[in-house]
Amino acid sequence: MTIRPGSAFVNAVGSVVAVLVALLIGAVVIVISGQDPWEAYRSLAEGALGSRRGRAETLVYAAPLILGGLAFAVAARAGMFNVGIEGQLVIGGFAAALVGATDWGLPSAIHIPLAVLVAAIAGGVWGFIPGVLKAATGAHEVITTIMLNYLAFRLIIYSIQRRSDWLPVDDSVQGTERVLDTARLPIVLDATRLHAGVAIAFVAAFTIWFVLFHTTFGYKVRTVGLSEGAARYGGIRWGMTIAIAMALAGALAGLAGAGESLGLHGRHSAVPPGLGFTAIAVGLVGRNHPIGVIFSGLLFGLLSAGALTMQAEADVSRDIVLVLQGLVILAVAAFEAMNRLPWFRGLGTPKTPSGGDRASDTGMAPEIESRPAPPAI
Amino acid sequence: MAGITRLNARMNRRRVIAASGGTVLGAAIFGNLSVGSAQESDVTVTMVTDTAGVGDQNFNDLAVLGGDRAAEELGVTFNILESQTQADYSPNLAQGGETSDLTIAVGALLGDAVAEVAPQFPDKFFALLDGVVEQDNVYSVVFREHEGAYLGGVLSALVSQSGILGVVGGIRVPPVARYEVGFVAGARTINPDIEVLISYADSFEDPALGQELTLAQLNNGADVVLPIAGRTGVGSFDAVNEQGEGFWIMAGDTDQSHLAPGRQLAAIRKGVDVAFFDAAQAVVDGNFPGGTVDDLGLVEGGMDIYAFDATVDQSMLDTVAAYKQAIIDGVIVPPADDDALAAFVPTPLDGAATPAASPAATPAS
Repeated sequence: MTIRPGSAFVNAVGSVVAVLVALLIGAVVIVISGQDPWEAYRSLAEGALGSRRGRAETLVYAAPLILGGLAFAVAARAGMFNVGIEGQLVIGGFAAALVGATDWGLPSAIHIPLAVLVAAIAGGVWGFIPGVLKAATGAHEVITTIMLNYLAFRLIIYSIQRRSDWLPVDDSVQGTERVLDTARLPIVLDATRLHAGVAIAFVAAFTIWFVLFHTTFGYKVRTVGLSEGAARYGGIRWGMTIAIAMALAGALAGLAGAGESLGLHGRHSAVPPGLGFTAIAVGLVGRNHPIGVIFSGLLFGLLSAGALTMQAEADVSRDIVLVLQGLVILAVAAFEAMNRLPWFRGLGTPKTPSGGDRASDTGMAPEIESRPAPPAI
Repeated sequence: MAGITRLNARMNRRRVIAASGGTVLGAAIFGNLSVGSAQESDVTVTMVTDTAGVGDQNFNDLAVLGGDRAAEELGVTFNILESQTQADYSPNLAQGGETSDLTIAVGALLGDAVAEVAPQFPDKFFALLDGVVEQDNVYSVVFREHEGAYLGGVLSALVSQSGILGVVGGIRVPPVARYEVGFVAGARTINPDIEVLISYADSFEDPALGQELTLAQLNNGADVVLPIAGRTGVGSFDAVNEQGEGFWIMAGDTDQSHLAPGRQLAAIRKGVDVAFFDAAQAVVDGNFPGGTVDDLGLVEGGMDIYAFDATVDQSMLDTVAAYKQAIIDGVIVPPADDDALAAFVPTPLDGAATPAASPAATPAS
């Protein structure tokens, strides 16, 4: 393990320190608001970890954040800033709920995978569009993904309010009809809300880790993200790569939506959950590394799950958790900025030029093609 | 001791709405004001908010008002659990079920979660405001918003100079739709040619969007706007404030004149606080109406119109009172949904005031 700025180890330590600093500042905020920070944190931890149900809740809250964080990380590795996770997530959740609420007489063994697959495809399309637009026209993904968020919200509202004639939607609850039992992700722990969608999140994280660091495609994605010019020179099709990476990101967000509608709620509601925006923070704090995303997703899930107990027992407003999340992001950003200062870089002993996870980190030989770089798609 | 601190913390939160004097009026309307010394009670009541949360100046705050009154007059311990996302509903309700005798879910969107959690606590009581869950330990309260909104529509059409009104909605859940439909029907009764602009924010928590939508309506000629949008509606007050003279707001749910002094024409009252209080009282008295559904309108005092601005003259007040009586007597049945509105035939009462916008009216000075 190399100790140099930018290495995975230093990043991990940095994130942990950042979280501790954030908790410290958060304690000051709680004191200022007239409450006991020790009691607040104690009840938060107890709520999230102190009971079987609390631990289950932490995982339930973490699952969509991990998948959403992966959606951010995959796009970020390809050099794309994916602000469209919310839209990709809701369109996936909505599609899954529509499939899940339709009675074709399918057995669970077919109905569940079908609904999950449709969610991934729907989210994938929602991610693919900004990817293609960027590749083909150079349209900036921050703009297009935000616009696609609203498109997703409006499309869902429209479907619910106007298309009840041929879609299984119920405008009295502003959502889809309830997902049939054959399509509900099973509860894996009795008397909790822990559903099988949580397993999807962990499997996805390890899969993405493998894809990013142990496949040719992952190598292309990371190369494209580090330098478009170098990637082109190396014969990697830049446009194709970012479009596929964005589709993959969207599919991951779509899976998050599927977990919410098929596992947690049993229907998809028109009110956007906001998870897609928290997921950006999860990706950033996890340093866009799939394993890091697992930990940061668990942290954010823990905060959300514990906040409910904290507000009930310590009478600290649930909003303090939003403050904590904001502080964590700030602290991580500050650490990142510090990482770039010359004196800090000197602390390490850079044997190789510093930077993100280069190909050499994983011991893969760069893929070299001798033909000239083909044009983007 | 902890209980007292908690109560004090809560009391600080709702100072704004307390200033509007809703409690006294609410009690007067319902006539069950039990003045006097706070009794002691070991009953605990927990309120679970929807995602708009405490401070929406509207639906949630109205429920808090009822809870505070229950704490003061019945001596119950009153706790609030706020929800940030819909994923919080069922853990919050479960927390309420574990720690309190009565858990009150505020808002139609909590219906699913109530149906899921209430059976887990068969010996505890739950209440759902604005929605229906049919279970033995759940008491559901819905309101006939269209009856109150009808009166709001009548008054707005009387006052409007332009003959154009506006409705800014949050999310078109059935209670909001009933408001909208009733308002349109009332306005049409006074002025068949009236135009009602309708916009939805698709959110109960976006005041900036509420302001934008309201400004757009005002710029398109509307001069009275009814926001039915929770926290989003605060933006409507800002917009009317910004435009000033000649533009009016018709408040929904509760008197919010402090948000736009002198610009609130009247408020359509929805007895959320009283329903909340009554549910708490029923638990204290040991006769909780679990498994029943209450449907409250004008005749039960669950809806009303009040807090009139000085600009509303006596003839207008008389007209509103006449229509109110007609609804209570069943002479007029305001429509409750789109189909009923389409089939609704406006039947003006004889001798009622005429709209300002109609040619027959005397021109405004």
